[in-house]
Amino acid sequence: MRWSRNSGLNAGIALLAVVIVAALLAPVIAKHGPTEQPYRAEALAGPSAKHWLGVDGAGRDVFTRILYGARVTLGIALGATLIAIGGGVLLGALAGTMRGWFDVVVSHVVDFLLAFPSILLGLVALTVMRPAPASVAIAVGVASLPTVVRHVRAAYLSENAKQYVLAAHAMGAGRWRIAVVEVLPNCASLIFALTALTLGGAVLEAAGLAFLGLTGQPDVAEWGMMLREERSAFRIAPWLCIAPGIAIAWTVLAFNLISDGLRGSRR
Amino acid sequence: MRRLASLIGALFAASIAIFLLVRLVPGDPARLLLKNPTPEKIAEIRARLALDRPLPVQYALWLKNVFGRGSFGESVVTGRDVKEELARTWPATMELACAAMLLASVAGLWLGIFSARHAGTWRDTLGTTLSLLGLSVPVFWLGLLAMLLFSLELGWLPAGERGDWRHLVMPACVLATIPAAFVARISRAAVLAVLGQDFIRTARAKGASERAVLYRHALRAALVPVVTMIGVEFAYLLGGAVLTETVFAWPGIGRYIATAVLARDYPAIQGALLVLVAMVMLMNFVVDFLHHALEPKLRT
Repeated sequence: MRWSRNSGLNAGIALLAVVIVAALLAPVIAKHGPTEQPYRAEALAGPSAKHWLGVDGAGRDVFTRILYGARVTLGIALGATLIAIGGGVLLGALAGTMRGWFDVVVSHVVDFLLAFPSILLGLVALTVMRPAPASVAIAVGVASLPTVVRHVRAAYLSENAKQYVLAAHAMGAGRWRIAVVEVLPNCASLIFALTALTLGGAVLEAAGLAFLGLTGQPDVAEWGMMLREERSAFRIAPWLCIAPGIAIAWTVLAFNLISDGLRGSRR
Repeated sequence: MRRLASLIGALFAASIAIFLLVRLVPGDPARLLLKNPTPEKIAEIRARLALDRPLPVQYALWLKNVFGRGSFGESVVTGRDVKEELARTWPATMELACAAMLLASVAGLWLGIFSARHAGTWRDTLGTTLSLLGLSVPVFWLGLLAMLLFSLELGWLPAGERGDWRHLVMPACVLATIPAAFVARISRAAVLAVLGQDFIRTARAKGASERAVLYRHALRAALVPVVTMIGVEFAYLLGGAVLTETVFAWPGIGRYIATAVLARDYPAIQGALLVLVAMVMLMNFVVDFLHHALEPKLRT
């Protein structure tokens, strides 16, 4: 059992490493820039030795766009997760430590926000902002925040009831010192697992929002956007719709495997 | 009774939030709506949408329209009555969401029990891998692939729009993927936890068959977390419906709201959001009751 858990974690890290390498080396491996259209004559060509994943309707090498897409996707996911985890851990820890009215307010707002389907939260947040990858990151981050707050708050509540907190308290440590020095390290593995989970969810959600057309300019090399664009050529060139989907699923699977692995090793 | 009061409170909070959110949009909605704005036209639209009044008055007017006359106003893009559009699209979404929910619950429970029963063997690995994959695949892509295979290649199922049951099969299966994977993971963990308990050993000791142990004792315990999940699942289904309906050209609220957001059609966005959120909240309310009925510990 232990072995299979670690193997899941390792598989996740290996999958993720591929995505990170693709993102970092995109300018080195790629044939052209992400928005250039050098192969107009070969538009909608199928996979070949020259174009591994074919050429899209606008004359761009699909493999090149997948590589650059890794940058956009990882960027959005990181931005969103920074917001969700940063804000979520702060609010959850504050609510779980302070209790009282602050806790009541935070819990109610979180429960309330969880009634909104998260893709709708993102959708609505994007109505307010100008459509662009940065807006998507903010929208997705805000939409994932309530879940993080709920988990971290619950962890703080259960940790605060434990003996070591009582002991620290008896030794004269203040409540904020306990919250940061004693409790936070004990919540670390939960926070890491939540981070991986949020990253995976953010990739999926950002792709969904992009697919709906909310990421802005259609020539952004974003995987969800690519699926949206290539949908029109779906009947003639179905292979164009395969690669971006695999790229999304690959990245999400990597984060989910890592999250599961981290969670498993906590017990 | 207390819960009913908090439900109504939450609904009010939701209406305020939805109302304010749309007003947060930078830029004058009246100006955005007109192709070639003239001062008179802008003034006319502002008067029609009551944009020239203070915010609380605007909110009160909106609420009066919603509850007093049951009206969400008219779409500023198509000019159609939002209430009628919602009444037209709502059944389609419910049909899709309910079919997906049923499918997800049955398939998820089956897969979860299957995994738990064969815990530690290759069958368990297969089951957990399947559910992990289900959680990782983007729904809209799955929808595209399904359409490619079953409609374009094999020609078994129609490629979209609403109609008889054959139209429902693909969208429902696609929408059910993530919730089914969720249910499978939760029910697997729940069954495993129950199987280790004393009363199961007692049941086995008194000679109950493995089948009876599994379906009479373990399943009942596994149902509790699964039922609790239904509320969250329903919220997800309505959200996932936005993508699924867009892929399959399914004439539901999800596609309606996606179009409205792209066109910045505020009355339509407000109306559709309010209906969707009210549905999720009502569902959570019902689930709370079910939860109490299933879990004797919570009865007071």
